[in-house]
Amino acid sequence: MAKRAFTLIELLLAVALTGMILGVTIATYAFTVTRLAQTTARFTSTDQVRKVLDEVEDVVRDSVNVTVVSTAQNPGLKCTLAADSKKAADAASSRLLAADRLANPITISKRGYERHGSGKRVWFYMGDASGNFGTAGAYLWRAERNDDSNPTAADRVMGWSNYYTSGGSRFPVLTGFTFSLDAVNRNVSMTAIGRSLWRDERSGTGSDGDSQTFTESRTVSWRHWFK
Amino acid sequence: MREVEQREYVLGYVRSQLESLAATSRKTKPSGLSTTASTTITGIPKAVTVDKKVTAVAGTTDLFFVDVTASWTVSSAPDEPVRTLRLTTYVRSPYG
Repeated sequence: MAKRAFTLIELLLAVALTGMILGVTIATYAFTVTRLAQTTARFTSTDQVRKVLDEVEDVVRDSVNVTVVSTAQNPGLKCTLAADSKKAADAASSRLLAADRLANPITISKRGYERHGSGKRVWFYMGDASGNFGTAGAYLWRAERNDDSNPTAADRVMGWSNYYTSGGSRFPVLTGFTFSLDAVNRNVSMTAIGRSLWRDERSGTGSDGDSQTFTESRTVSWRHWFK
Repeated sequence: MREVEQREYVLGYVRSQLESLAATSRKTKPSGLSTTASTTITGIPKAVTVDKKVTAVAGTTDLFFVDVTASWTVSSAPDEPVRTLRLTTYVRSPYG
């Protein structure tokens, strides 16, 4: 009995069906990958904005005084922590240690208010990639000094601003960080802005189709230790 | 409910409103879609003020700026109660 082969029509039909299935699969895959990248980028922007505000809030709440230092370019937020000999040992740390937060007061008034000396000055400012204070740019830097002078690039806390102290910025989607003081009520109003495009993906026009810009504002009081 | 959870609820709401407003702007004439209203969001004790805006980008005919801002009161922080979240994007609409 002779073996029956596929006819030309059957072969063409098989090729057409395979092509259709492949086409649908590839299109679905491409769509999924694009949407996944888009969604990840959007969540990254909201996550980084929250992280910046949380970490600055953490310092502001521990400060005995906060000021804004203006420059021709980006201003700096200067947070003065309470003097505390225990913190000297943590000078290299980029984070405050919860157990050491409560500094020993110099005096305690009859009404129970604590008085502290000035300790480490923690600065937050936007600037260029060099990290110099008073420059224009979208890099967020944290610097620490033990006196009232403006920070230099050498005062930056690299482990806070960059991954692995020298790698890429920890906040590459951040586009702005602004703040204002209410000295009477001793609070800082902060706004951080992030965009769902990484710094090197952004165009200069501001309209990037599917990108989103996320802005979060909060007001934080610093410690009322000097009453 | 803790403050961080309230933030997630509001952010989810703002995100969904932005997506919805952007989709509507692509299907209809975007002018007239701007609204300001107080709304109730599950998990937030007090009413949340939601401001939605769609504005034409100057110098263009079909590009629109979509902006959703929500402000709410954080009950656990009485001395600094107001928080604001804002999401913005651009959409192209043939109905401009």
